[in-house]
Amino acid sequence: MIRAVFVLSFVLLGAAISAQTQPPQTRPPARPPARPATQRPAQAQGESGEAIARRVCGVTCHPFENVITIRRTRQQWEATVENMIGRGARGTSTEFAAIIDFLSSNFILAPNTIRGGSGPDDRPMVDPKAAEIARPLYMADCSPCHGPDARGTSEGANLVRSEIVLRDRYGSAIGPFLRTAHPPVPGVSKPAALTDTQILLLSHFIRERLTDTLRGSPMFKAGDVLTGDAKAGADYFNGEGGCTKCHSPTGDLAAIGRRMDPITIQQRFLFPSNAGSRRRSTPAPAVTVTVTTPAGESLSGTLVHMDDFHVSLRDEAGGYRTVRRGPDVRIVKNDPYAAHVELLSRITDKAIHDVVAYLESLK
Amino acid sequence: MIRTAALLLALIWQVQSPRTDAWPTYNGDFTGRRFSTLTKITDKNVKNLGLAWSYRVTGQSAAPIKATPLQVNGVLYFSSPDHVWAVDARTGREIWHFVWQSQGGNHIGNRGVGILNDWLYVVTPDCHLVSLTLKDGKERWRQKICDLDRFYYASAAPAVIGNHVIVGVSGDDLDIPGYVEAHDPVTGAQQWRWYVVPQKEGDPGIESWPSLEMAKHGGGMTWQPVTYDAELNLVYVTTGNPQPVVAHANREGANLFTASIVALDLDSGTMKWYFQSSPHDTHDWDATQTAVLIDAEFNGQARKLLAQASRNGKFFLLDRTNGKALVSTDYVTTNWSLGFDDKGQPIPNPAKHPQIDGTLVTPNQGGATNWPSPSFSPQTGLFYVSAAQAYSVWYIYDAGKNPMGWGGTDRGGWQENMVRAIDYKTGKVRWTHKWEGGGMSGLLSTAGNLLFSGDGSGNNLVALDATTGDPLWHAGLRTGVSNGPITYTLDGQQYVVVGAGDTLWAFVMRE
Repeated sequence: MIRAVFVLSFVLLGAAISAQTQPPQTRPPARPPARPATQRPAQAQGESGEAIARRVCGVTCHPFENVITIRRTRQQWEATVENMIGRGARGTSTEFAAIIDFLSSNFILAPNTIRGGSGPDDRPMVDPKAAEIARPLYMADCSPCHGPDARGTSEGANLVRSEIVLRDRYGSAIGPFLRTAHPPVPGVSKPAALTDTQILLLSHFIRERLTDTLRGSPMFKAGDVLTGDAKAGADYFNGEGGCTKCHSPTGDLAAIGRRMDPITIQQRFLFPSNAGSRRRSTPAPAVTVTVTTPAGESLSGTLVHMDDFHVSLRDEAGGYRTVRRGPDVRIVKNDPYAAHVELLSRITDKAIHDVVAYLESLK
Repeated sequence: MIRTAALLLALIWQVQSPRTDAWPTYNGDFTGRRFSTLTKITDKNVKNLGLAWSYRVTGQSAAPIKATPLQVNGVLYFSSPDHVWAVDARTGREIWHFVWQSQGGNHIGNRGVGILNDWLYVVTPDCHLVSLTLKDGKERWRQKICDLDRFYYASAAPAVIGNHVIVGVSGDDLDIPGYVEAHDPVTGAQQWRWYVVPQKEGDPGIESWPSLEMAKHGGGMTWQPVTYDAELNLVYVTTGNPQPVVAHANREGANLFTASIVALDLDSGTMKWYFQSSPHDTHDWDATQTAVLIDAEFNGQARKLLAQASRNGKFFLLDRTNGKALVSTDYVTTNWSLGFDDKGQPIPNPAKHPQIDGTLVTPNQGGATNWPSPSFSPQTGLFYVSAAQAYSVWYIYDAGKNPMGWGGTDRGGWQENMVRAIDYKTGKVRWTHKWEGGGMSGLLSTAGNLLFSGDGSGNNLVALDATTGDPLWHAGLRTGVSNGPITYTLDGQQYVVVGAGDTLWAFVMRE
């Protein structure tokens, strides 16, 4: 019976909307195979974006399959990668840029694609087009009781937490429920007058309200962070913050308010070494190191790697050297962002918002 | 009757005879301390520790090995989502490999298996508790323990205690209640279920929620295996953060019993006491870090103690007979609380709840520590934790009065990772060993005055001097340590086994 409803709804749906838009999906289609990463130029020393993503994203914390079974917009992939960096993902800014390119090219959530998990019993996927078609119907017939966001009112249940909605697969549970007697008021109720097509469309709309509450949904974005006092921010910048030791509002920061949105400014000045907060065209300045060996030899260059046992660097000529660490080996590390790190333990939230307002005012 | 006697004997064996030729439970024993009495590998000879074998997981199953292997009768048993392996603990040869046909669910990780007699227990991402036969990996039975439609999944290692298989549940996307339940190890039948948050009017903790509706959907996942005191017959459950996770306008109150340490009666699942590590959490700081049981002196008296280094940056030492706090302090710098209340629980600073325009908080979402296992050495009296000093900015994304799901998050960040050794009596940090890069690792301490850990970005397994924190030995593993190291003796030789990415590595001290 359910299968018959599915087939019928598919036919009706196709007829109903073919004239106005591309048809919404009635069930998860086979995902298109991922395009090979070679469609994009390799970005890091000849290593493909896929190889970098496998190495950085698919080894230590979670399987690579966790990544490639999800579709996101480019903006969402950027936010996801940034989030992962915050959780300890390790790589260079060039590598993270390559990963974003790879994911955005091959695992993109386009307007006509759908999203969800894997496995036959896993979640149904939302077709945003179908949800959008259903919006007027929902707003007219459902929202007076269930609310515009489907989170319920004093007159109607919270659909986001409804067991019927959570068990629903493209109308399979919502349909029979609505057709029994709805709204469930004794003596008043009668079956809802909805076509199979309308039920299918509503299932997408309601499911989309549920996915709105999830991390990574289009609703999952920051609000207004421009709440500070620009003048106080200037004072902090020129005084207590010590920012003028390295920066100038007429030099490197000229017109920064035109170049970056406020939240990017906020993230960049607090966490400049966080590759996710950087533009891909401006890789982070490297940490440099000077190593003095027991024999008195002094080696300087870009720090490649350091742990308790070895330190590796690349010198100005491009030469690669590794020195075994020991009590007689002297190492001086120079982190270009040390002043920003030092700021974290003393800056107040007010000063953060003031500095953002000041920098944003530099047009 | 015979079955009961056999299970009782097994329990006595599990609890009273910590084995050195095996690693029979997730933490090695039920205390959660991950300390081995073995002394063939010491701070003096660890420089001679060498590779015995490696076993690489390949193909679709190449998930990071987060599971702590169990070693029983010379065989290692470990898991990743939908997979279980039996591997010869002496040679690394595969004995069998079980593959579960998944119906879906979150495949982020699987922390390991439980074993009783000839049976193995594992949970699956699609919400099943499955029992296998130890000798060949054949399925005995399966029991559904959660609901995929409600976005639950299962990832934690079952704890097998007497005639109870105790399992928790995972999932913090939708607003759903956490719970822990016990199953019969023979039949799989459910014996009891304890909900972390109130499910009906009159339930304990209901006064800490604005409504039953919010309480029923209040979260509190049970991601970590329980620890157990046989004399008190209490299991110690650690619970996850409340839901909605970040936006919190509709869940005023302490939100019991989320982000808490809870003592339950083993046989009935009845709550005896609780201690809330993070009242009204708004930063995804579950309190599911291991509740480590310590039998030691405190203020001149032998005491039954419980210690937790919580994700929120606070260290707690409790009397585990009644949950009273003896020590409450910070083990990293934190900036989100206004001291401790009269129960020793942190008082959240409202200004450091996530804000629309952002607030700078330490720790970050990843926490001052996370699921990787801590360790306690009765020899040094030190509680070791894989720690991070981490900053990020926390935002409210859903500023409405009725948020759901997450409604906000943190962004960006800076952190430095380290091992911290904490004096259990005072909570004071005795030593810190910083790593050059990010990342956390499970820990193992031994009577050889050693502490084994991964080293963050170095991709090394490192042995530190347990007394001073000085690095003594390392081995490069291609990628970072992804589980907690274990140790055991076979044929008179002491092994150390650790997972890193898709490979299990075994090191041995040859005689």
